[in-house]
Amino acid sequence: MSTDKMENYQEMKNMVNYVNDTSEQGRISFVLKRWRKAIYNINKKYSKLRLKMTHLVRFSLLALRLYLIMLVIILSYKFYTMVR
Amino acid sequence: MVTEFIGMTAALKIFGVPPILTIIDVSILMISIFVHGRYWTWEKIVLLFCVLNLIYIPAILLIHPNFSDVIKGLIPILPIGGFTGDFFFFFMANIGTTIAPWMIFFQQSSVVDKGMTEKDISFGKFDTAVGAFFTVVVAIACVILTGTLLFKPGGVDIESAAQAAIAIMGSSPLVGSALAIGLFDAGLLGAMCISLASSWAMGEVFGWVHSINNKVSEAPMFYAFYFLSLFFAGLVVITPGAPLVLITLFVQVIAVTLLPAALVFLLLLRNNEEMMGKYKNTLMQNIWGFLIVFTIIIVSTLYALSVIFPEMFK
Repeated sequence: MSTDKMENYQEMKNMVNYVNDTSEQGRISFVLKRWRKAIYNINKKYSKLRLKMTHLVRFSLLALRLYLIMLVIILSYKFYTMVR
Repeated sequence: MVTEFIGMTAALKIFGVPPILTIIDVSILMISIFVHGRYWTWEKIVLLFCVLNLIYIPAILLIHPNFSDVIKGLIPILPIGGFTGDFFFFFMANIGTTIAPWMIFFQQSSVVDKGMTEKDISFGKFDTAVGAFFTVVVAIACVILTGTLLFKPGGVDIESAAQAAIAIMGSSPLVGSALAIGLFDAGLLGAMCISLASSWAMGEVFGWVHSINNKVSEAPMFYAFYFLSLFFAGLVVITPGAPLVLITLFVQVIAVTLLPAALVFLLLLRNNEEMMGKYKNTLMQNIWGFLIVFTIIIVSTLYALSVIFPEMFK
């Protein structure tokens, strides 16, 4: 059986369990599993970069993002102090 | 979204409309336009609102500004008070009202929904250039309008566009009304585009069906996110005691701070020969692109420094 077919089969099995399982805990666990799977699929989809980059460019991009996040934290702090 | 709702509620407050009523009415209007299920219909309605935004231009003719002062004002000068923390803050907020990360997502998704192909690139460029030109014309008109009617040598105490409209209403009700209508229209246009751009982006990331050409039943998550974004933005605006002006400014500044992250990826994509082929960036386009990115990073850094070391820029 191919991976896609196996995944579909698993999904159907989960759906059947969801319909049968009427408890609140069962439903929550089903929703959480679906979310986890969705996030896993997103990460899998974007795991391979379509843009070819050297290690230096990749490192620079990571550094830039971290730096921008730090700036946003400083701005958020300023906003907090002004509101207070 | 929050800032657009703030603008709309402030504008209609001038005409005595309570904020809650504005939010409900605007949400119904936006949903009814959105669920129509066709990109072309949505775009035509948005273009109609864009034309209404030109109201500022005839309003200028009513106030007879001093055109030699206007020409002088168009020439960039160093800030009169020097480079202070406030200067960097408002400079960034101004960039944020014109260029924001959501626009990049909007532009690319609208091209897809519109069904544009390679042969339409020149039309797309022309479309963008016309939009950018009128954005600048309307912005200049706003400055001329408020500068002529409100500026006094000792300074003027105005904190928001709505306050400016109220103050103008006292001396010229017609121009004040035009300013308020323009403010409402700008907020509505922004809200329509930002909510759609967010839904498109979420749809793309989560793999949902994400086209305005789909019906609600065909793209439930795409539409659900759109409705939720309207609901939460409205909720923030009607929260009692919320510092709306401060939120408006900080949202723009944070948007600008995060802009380089999206712009750098866009530039990398534009320089990828495999994907872009003959449309790859030229040297001049790269110089301009990276200059914009570096300017934004430097100004954001200077503002952050002024926050950490307030004595540095006084």
